[in-house]
Amino acid sequence: LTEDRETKIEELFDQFADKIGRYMLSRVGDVHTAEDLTSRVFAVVVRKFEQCRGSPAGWLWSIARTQLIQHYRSHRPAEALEEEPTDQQPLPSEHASRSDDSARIRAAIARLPEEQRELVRMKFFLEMHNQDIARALDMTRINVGVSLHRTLKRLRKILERQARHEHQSPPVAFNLRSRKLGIT
Amino acid sequence: MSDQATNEFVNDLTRDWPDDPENPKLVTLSQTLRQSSPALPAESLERIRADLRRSLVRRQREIIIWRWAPLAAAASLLVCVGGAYLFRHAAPGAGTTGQGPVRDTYQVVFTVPPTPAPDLPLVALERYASLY
Repeated sequence: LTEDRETKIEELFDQFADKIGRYMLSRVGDVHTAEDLTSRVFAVVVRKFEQCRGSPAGWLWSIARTQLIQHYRSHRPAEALEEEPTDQQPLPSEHASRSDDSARIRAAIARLPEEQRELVRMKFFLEMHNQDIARALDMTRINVGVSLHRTLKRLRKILERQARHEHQSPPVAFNLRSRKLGIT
Repeated sequence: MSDQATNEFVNDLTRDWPDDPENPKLVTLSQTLRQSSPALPAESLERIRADLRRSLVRRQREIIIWRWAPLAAAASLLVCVGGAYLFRHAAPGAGTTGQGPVRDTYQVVFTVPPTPAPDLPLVALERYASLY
Protein backbone atom coordinates (compact mmCIF):
# COMPACT_ATOMS: atom_id res chain seq x y z
CA LEU A 1 0.00 0.00 0.00
CA THR A 2 2.76 2.43 0.93
CA GLU A 3 4.72 1.56 -2.21
CA ASP A 4 1.66 2.25 -4.32
CA ARG A 5 1.23 5.56 -2.51
CA GLU A 6 4.85 6.48 -3.11
CA THR A 7 4.61 5.61 -6.79
CA LYS A 8 1.54 7.79 -7.21
CA ILE A 9 3.20 10.71 -5.43
CA GLU A 10 6.30 10.36 -7.58
CA GLU A 11 4.11 10.36 -10.68
CA LEU A 12 2.38 13.47 -9.43
CA PHE A 13 5.79 15.04 -8.91
CA ASP A 14 6.94 14.16 -12.42
CA GLN A 15 3.77 15.60 -13.87
CA PHE A 16 3.48 18.78 -11.84
CA ALA A 17 6.80 19.75 -10.26
CA ASP A 18 7.86 21.88 -13.20
CA LYS A 19 4.44 23.51 -13.45
CA ILE A 20 4.23 24.28 -9.75
CA GLY A 21 7.78 25.60 -9.84
CA ARG A 22 6.93 27.83 -12.76
CA TYR A 23 3.80 29.03 -11.01
CA MET A 24 5.71 29.78 -7.80
CA LEU A 25 8.46 31.55 -9.68
CA SER A 26 5.92 33.73 -11.43
CA ARG A 27 4.46 34.59 -8.04
CA VAL A 28 7.55 35.28 -5.97
CA GLY A 29 10.14 36.09 -8.63
CA ASP A 30 12.99 34.50 -6.71
CA VAL A 31 14.37 31.07 -7.58
CA HIS A 32 15.32 30.11 -4.02
CA THR A 33 11.99 31.11 -2.55
CA ALA A 34 10.12 29.43 -5.39
CA GLU A 35 12.16 26.27 -4.84
CA ASP A 36 11.43 26.35 -1.12
CA LEU A 37 7.72 26.89 -1.67
CA THR A 38 7.51 24.16 -4.31
CA SER A 39 9.26 21.80 -1.93
CA ARG A 40 6.76 22.68 0.77
CA VAL A 41 3.88 22.01 -1.60
CA PHE A 42 5.14 18.48 -2.18
CA ALA A 43 5.77 17.97 1.54
CA VAL A 44 2.07 18.71 2.04
CA VAL A 45 1.26 16.33 -0.81
CA VAL A 46 3.13 13.57 1.03
CA ARG A 47 1.26 14.27 4.27
CA LYS A 48 -2.20 14.72 2.82
CA PHE A 49 -2.14 12.62 -0.30
CA GLU A 50 -5.28 10.75 0.75
CA GLN A 51 -7.20 14.03 0.64
CA CYS A 52 -6.65 14.43 -3.10
CA ARG A 53 -10.06 14.10 -4.71
CA GLY A 54 -10.78 14.81 -8.34
CA SER A 55 -8.30 16.89 -10.24
CA PRO A 56 -4.73 16.84 -8.90
CA ALA A 57 -4.03 20.20 -10.58
CA GLY A 58 -6.82 21.91 -8.65
CA TRP A 59 -5.72 20.30 -5.41
CA LEU A 60 -2.09 21.28 -5.99
CA TRP A 61 -3.13 24.82 -6.83
CA SER A 62 -4.99 25.11 -3.52
CA ILE A 63 -1.91 23.83 -1.64
CA ALA A 64 0.35 26.19 -3.57
CA ARG A 65 -1.93 29.10 -2.79
CA THR A 66 -1.98 28.24 0.90
CA GLN A 67 1.81 28.06 0.94
CA LEU A 68 2.03 31.43 -0.80
CA ILE A 69 -0.34 33.01 1.71
CA GLN A 70 1.72 31.61 4.58
CA HIS A 71 4.88 32.85 2.92
CA TYR A 72 3.55 36.38 2.52
CA ARG A 73 2.15 36.39 6.02
CA SER A 74 5.45 35.41 7.54
CA HIS A 75 7.59 37.67 5.36
CA ARG A 76 5.50 40.71 4.60
CA PRO A 77 2.50 40.85 6.87
CA ALA A 78 1.47 44.27 5.70
CA GLU A 79 1.09 43.26 2.06
CA ALA A 80 -1.79 41.29 0.71
CA LEU A 81 -1.25 38.34 -1.57
CA GLU A 82 -3.02 40.07 -4.43
CA GLU A 83 -0.56 42.93 -4.31
CA GLU A 84 2.39 40.88 -5.42
CA PRO A 85 3.01 41.74 -9.06
CA THR A 86 6.14 39.69 -9.38
CA ASP A 87 5.70 38.56 -12.96
CA GLN A 88 7.26 41.69 -14.32
CA GLN A 89 10.44 41.26 -12.32
CA PRO A 90 12.96 39.80 -14.73
CA LEU A 91 15.24 37.07 -13.51
CA PRO A 92 18.93 37.63 -14.18
CA SER A 93 19.42 34.34 -15.94
CA GLU A 94 16.44 34.94 -18.10
CA HIS A 95 17.76 37.76 -20.19
CA ALA A 96 20.20 35.50 -21.93
CA SER A 97 17.95 32.52 -22.33
CA ARG A 98 14.57 34.02 -23.24
CA SER A 99 13.68 35.36 -26.59
CA ASP A 100 12.40 38.90 -27.03
CA ASP A 101 8.92 37.59 -27.69
CA SER A 102 8.86 35.68 -24.43
CA ALA A 103 10.06 38.70 -22.52
CA ARG A 104 7.40 40.84 -24.11
CA ILE A 105 4.66 38.32 -23.41
CA ARG A 106 5.81 38.04 -19.81
CA ALA A 107 5.81 41.79 -19.46
CA ALA A 108 2.32 41.88 -20.95
CA ILE A 109 1.09 39.22 -18.53
CA ALA A 110 2.53 41.29 -15.70
CA ARG A 111 0.35 44.19 -16.76
CA LEU A 112 -2.83 42.19 -16.49
CA PRO A 113 -4.94 42.57 -13.35
CA GLU A 114 -4.10 40.02 -10.68
CA GLU A 115 -7.27 37.99 -11.24
CA GLN A 116 -6.50 37.61 -14.93
CA ARG A 117 -2.87 36.86 -14.26
CA GLU A 118 -3.92 34.12 -11.88
CA LEU A 119 -6.25 32.78 -14.53
CA VAL A 120 -3.40 32.64 -17.05
CA ARG A 121 -1.21 30.87 -14.52
CA MET A 122 -3.90 28.35 -13.67
CA LYS A 123 -4.87 27.67 -17.25
CA PHE A 124 -1.55 27.78 -19.01
CA PHE A 125 1.10 27.10 -16.37
CA LEU A 126 -0.75 24.55 -14.26
CA GLU A 127 -2.84 23.32 -17.21
CA MET A 128 -6.02 23.18 -15.18
CA HIS A 129 -9.36 22.38 -16.77
CA ASN A 130 -11.97 25.12 -16.88
CA GLN A 131 -14.12 23.01 -14.58
CA ASP A 132 -11.34 22.80 -11.99
CA ILE A 133 -10.61 26.51 -12.25
CA ALA A 134 -14.31 27.19 -11.80
CA ARG A 135 -14.39 25.02 -8.68
CA ALA A 136 -11.23 26.59 -7.25
CA LEU A 137 -12.34 30.17 -7.87
CA ASP A 138 -15.98 29.57 -7.06
CA MET A 139 -17.10 30.48 -10.56
CA THR A 140 -19.14 28.72 -13.20
CA ARG A 141 -17.40 26.93 -16.01
CA ILE A 142 -18.90 29.31 -18.53
CA ASN A 143 -17.64 32.29 -16.55
CA VAL A 144 -14.17 30.83 -16.62
CA GLY A 145 -14.34 30.48 -20.39
CA VAL A 146 -15.55 34.05 -20.78
CA SER A 147 -12.88 35.35 -18.39
CA LEU A 148 -10.19 33.47 -20.26
CA HIS A 149 -11.39 34.93 -23.51
CA ARG A 150 -11.31 38.44 -22.07
CA THR A 151 -7.88 37.81 -20.60
CA LEU A 152 -6.40 36.66 -23.88
CA LYS A 153 -8.02 39.55 -25.68
CA ARG A 154 -6.60 42.01 -23.19
CA LEU A 155 -3.20 40.38 -23.41
CA ARG A 156 -3.22 40.84 -27.13
CA LYS A 157 -4.13 44.52 -26.78
CA ILE A 158 -1.31 45.05 -24.31
CA LEU A 159 1.10 43.36 -26.69
CA GLU A 160 -0.03 45.50 -29.57
CA ARG A 161 0.30 48.65 -27.47
CA GLN A 162 3.77 47.59 -26.40
CA ALA A 163 4.73 46.92 -29.99
CA ARG A 164 3.49 50.35 -31.08
CA HIS A 165 5.39 51.95 -28.23
CA GLU A 166 8.57 50.12 -29.16
CA HIS A 167 7.92 50.63 -32.90
CA GLN A 168 8.08 46.90 -33.34
CA SER A 169 5.68 44.25 -34.46
CA PRO A 170 3.87 42.34 -31.73
CA PRO A 171 5.33 38.98 -30.79
CA VAL A 172 4.82 37.00 -33.95
CA ALA A 173 3.84 33.76 -32.36
CA PHE A 174 1.26 35.26 -30.07
CA ASN A 175 -0.08 37.62 -32.69
CA LEU A 176 -0.65 34.94 -35.26
CA ARG A 177 -2.03 32.52 -32.76
CA SER A 178 -4.29 35.13 -31.30
CA ARG A 179 -5.77 35.74 -34.68
CA LYS A 180 -6.15 32.06 -35.27
CA LEU A 181 -7.96 31.87 -31.97
CA GLY A 182 -10.35 34.53 -33.14
CA ILE A 183 -9.41 36.99 -30.43
CA THR A 184 -10.14 40.32 -32.01
CA MET B 1 -16.94 37.24 -36.71
CA SER B 2 -19.45 38.72 -34.25
CA ASP B 3 -18.62 39.08 -30.57
CA GLN B 4 -20.95 36.29 -29.65
CA ALA B 5 -19.54 34.02 -32.29
CA THR B 6 -16.02 34.89 -31.18
CA ASN B 7 -16.85 34.11 -27.58
CA GLU B 8 -18.38 30.81 -28.53
CA PHE B 9 -15.39 29.99 -30.69
CA VAL B 10 -12.86 30.76 -27.97
CA ASN B 11 -14.92 29.09 -25.29
CA ASP B 12 -15.14 26.06 -27.46
CA LEU B 13 -11.39 26.11 -27.96
CA THR B 14 -10.66 26.42 -24.27
CA ARG B 15 -13.38 24.09 -23.10
CA ASP B 16 -11.57 20.84 -22.53
CA TRP B 17 -8.01 21.86 -22.92
CA PRO B 18 -5.44 20.35 -22.25
CA ASP B 19 -7.17 17.05 -22.85
CA ASP B 20 -7.88 18.02 -26.40
CA PRO B 21 -4.83 17.11 -28.48
CA GLU B 22 -6.86 17.87 -31.58
CA ASN B 23 -6.68 21.56 -30.78
CA PRO B 24 -3.17 22.53 -31.90
CA LYS B 25 -3.92 26.25 -31.84
CA LEU B 26 -4.59 26.37 -28.16
CA VAL B 27 -1.77 23.99 -27.39
CA THR B 28 0.61 26.27 -29.31
CA LEU B 29 -0.73 29.33 -27.53
CA SER B 30 -0.28 27.56 -24.24
CA GLN B 31 3.29 26.65 -25.12
CA THR B 32 4.03 30.23 -26.08
CA LEU B 33 2.63 31.52 -22.81
CA ARG B 34 4.42 28.86 -20.80
CA GLN B 35 7.73 29.53 -22.52
CA SER B 36 7.37 33.18 -21.66
CA SER B 37 7.42 32.23 -18.00
CA PRO B 38 10.70 31.19 -16.41
CA ALA B 39 11.03 27.69 -15.01
CA LEU B 40 12.95 26.47 -12.01
CA PRO B 41 16.44 25.25 -12.91
CA ALA B 42 16.98 21.51 -13.15
CA GLU B 43 19.14 21.55 -10.00
CA SER B 44 16.29 23.10 -8.05
CA LEU B 45 13.91 20.42 -9.24
CA GLU B 46 16.41 17.75 -8.25
CA ARG B 47 16.72 19.24 -4.77
CA ILE B 48 12.95 19.32 -4.48
CA ARG B 49 12.81 15.68 -5.55
CA ALA B 50 15.37 14.80 -2.87
CA ASP B 51 13.25 16.65 -0.29
CA LEU B 52 10.21 14.77 -1.50
CA ARG B 53 11.97 11.42 -1.07
CA ARG B 54 13.02 12.36 2.46
CA SER B 55 9.44 13.33 3.24
CA LEU B 56 8.23 10.02 1.82
CA VAL B 57 10.61 8.04 4.03
CA ARG B 58 9.60 10.05 7.09
CA ARG B 59 5.94 9.64 6.30
CA GLN B 60 6.33 5.91 5.76
CA ARG B 61 7.95 5.63 9.18
CA GLU B 62 5.08 7.57 10.72
CA ILE B 63 2.54 5.36 9.00
CA ILE B 64 4.25 2.23 10.33
CA ILE B 65 4.41 3.68 13.84
CA TRP B 66 0.76 4.65 13.77
CA ARG B 67 -0.21 1.27 12.38
CA TRP B 68 1.55 -0.59 15.22
CA ALA B 69 0.81 1.90 17.99
CA PRO B 70 -2.63 0.49 18.93
CA LEU B 71 -1.20 -3.01 19.09
CA ALA B 72 1.70 -1.85 21.25
CA ALA B 73 -0.68 0.01 23.55
CA ALA B 74 -2.92 -3.05 23.85
CA ALA B 75 0.08 -5.26 24.63
CA SER B 76 1.31 -2.83 27.29
CA LEU B 77 -2.12 -2.73 28.86
CA LEU B 78 -2.28 -6.52 28.87
CA VAL B 79 1.13 -6.75 30.55
CA CYS B 80 0.10 -4.22 33.19
CA VAL B 81 -3.19 -5.98 33.95
CA GLY B 82 -1.48 -9.37 34.05
CA GLY B 83 1.24 -8.09 36.35
CA ALA B 84 -1.30 -6.58 38.72
CA TYR B 85 -3.30 -9.82 38.77
CA LEU B 86 -0.22 -11.87 39.55
CA PHE B 87 0.84 -9.45 42.25
CA ARG B 88 -2.50 -9.66 43.99
CA HIS B 89 -3.29 -13.34 43.62
CA ALA B 90 -0.24 -15.41 42.94
CA ALA B 91 2.07 -14.15 45.73
CA PRO B 92 0.85 -15.62 49.12
CA GLY B 93 -0.13 -12.93 51.56
CA ALA B 94 1.23 -10.23 49.35
CA GLY B 95 -0.96 -7.27 48.87
CA THR B 96 -3.55 -8.46 51.47
CA THR B 97 -4.80 -6.23 54.24
CA GLY B 98 -6.46 -6.61 57.70
CA GLN B 99 -3.75 -8.65 59.46
CA GLY B 100 -2.12 -7.84 62.76
CA PRO B 101 1.06 -5.92 63.31
CA VAL B 102 4.19 -7.40 61.97
CA ARG B 103 6.36 -9.19 64.53
CA ASP B 104 10.01 -9.58 63.94
CA THR B 105 11.86 -12.39 65.71
CA TYR B 106 15.55 -12.34 66.23
CA GLN B 107 17.68 -15.24 67.46
CA VAL B 108 20.98 -14.32 69.03
CA VAL B 109 23.46 -17.10 69.63
CA PHE B 110 26.28 -16.57 72.14
CA THR B 111 29.14 -18.96 71.98
CA VAL B 112 30.65 -19.50 75.47
CA PRO B 113 33.99 -21.25 75.78
CA PRO B 114 33.74 -24.51 77.92
CA THR B 115 34.86 -23.98 81.59
CA PRO B 116 36.84 -26.67 83.48
CA ALA B 117 35.02 -28.50 86.37
CA PRO B 118 36.02 -27.25 89.90
CA ASP B 119 38.15 -29.48 92.14
CA LEU B 120 35.81 -29.24 95.16
CA PRO B 121 32.12 -29.96 95.01
CA LEU B 122 30.01 -26.84 95.00
CA VAL B 123 28.15 -28.03 98.19
CA ALA B 124 29.86 -30.15 100.92
CA LEU B 125 27.05 -32.65 101.31
CA GLU B 126 28.98 -34.92 103.71
CA ARG B 127 29.34 -32.11 106.19
CA TYR B 128 25.68 -31.45 106.41
CA ALA B 129 24.48 -35.06 106.24
CA SER B 130 22.91 -34.71 109.72
CA LEU B 131 20.48 -32.17 108.38
CA TYR B 132 18.69 -34.63 106.16
